[in-house]
Amino acid sequence: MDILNWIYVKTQNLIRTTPNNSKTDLIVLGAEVPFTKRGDGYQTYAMPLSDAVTSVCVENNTLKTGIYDNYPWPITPVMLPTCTRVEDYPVFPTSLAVNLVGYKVQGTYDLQVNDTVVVEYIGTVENVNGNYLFGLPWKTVGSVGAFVNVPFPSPFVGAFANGATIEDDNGDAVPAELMTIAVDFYAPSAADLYLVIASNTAVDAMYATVSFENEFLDIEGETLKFTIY
Amino acid sequence: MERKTFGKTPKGWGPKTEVKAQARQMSAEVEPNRARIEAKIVEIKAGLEAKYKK
Repeated sequence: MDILNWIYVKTQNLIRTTPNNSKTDLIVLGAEVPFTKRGDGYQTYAMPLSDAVTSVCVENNTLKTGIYDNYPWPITPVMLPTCTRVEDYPVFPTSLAVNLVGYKVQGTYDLQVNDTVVVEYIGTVENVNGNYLFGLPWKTVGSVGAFVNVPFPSPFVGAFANGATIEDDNGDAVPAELMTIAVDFYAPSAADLYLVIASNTAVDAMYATVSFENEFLDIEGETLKFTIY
Repeated sequence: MERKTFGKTPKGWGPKTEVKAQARQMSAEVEPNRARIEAKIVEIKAGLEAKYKK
């Protein structure tokens, strides 16, 4: 029966590039449900277009905020595409509108450093075709766990931001006055990312678990590569 | 138990010259990146220590 509907859609020129109403327009899906008696095991169902798009982007959506998990993101940094889509009018090199899409580098760093200044290399983003990297960074979020007089796994957690609480080697809670992702464009098509943390109130060392997501934008269709050299 | 090789190196054992050549090539490609990164870390750190370190 479904195939007859498809023929009708095609013959009546009902194929569109934009939805009539993404909240109410339905798309048809097939789920393999073993309890059915049909030969192929698939049952047809429908879902609003907006729900369908959202459902496949939940894990990979725009950056999460306010989620102060201990290890929300991987230990070793990775780059993933996000669902961010932006139209922009850059001044350079043209004034033509471009579609920008989002990527994010996420990772977790266990801060146990005998220093009050930390510069940790995260990884390198390169445009495979040698074209300009459009814009880095777009947004940085994350969480910070400091283990002040609290046994693991119950750390104090707060947001990745200037002033985030860390622990010094006296076991005191102190602020990291500076906590950011530094981006070094060493070439027009490539940039190194660094985790940068500094405190002028810590004694001699800093301890914390720092998780971060750094989202950036690039022109749609470009191929980016993330490498940890 | 002693492995019987009958005087010949079994297939798949022994030095892998191709792999070593690849490793050398990769090392040469990676080193400029590491040199750039290490230099940048020193540069950023020096700037921050002037401002933040006690």
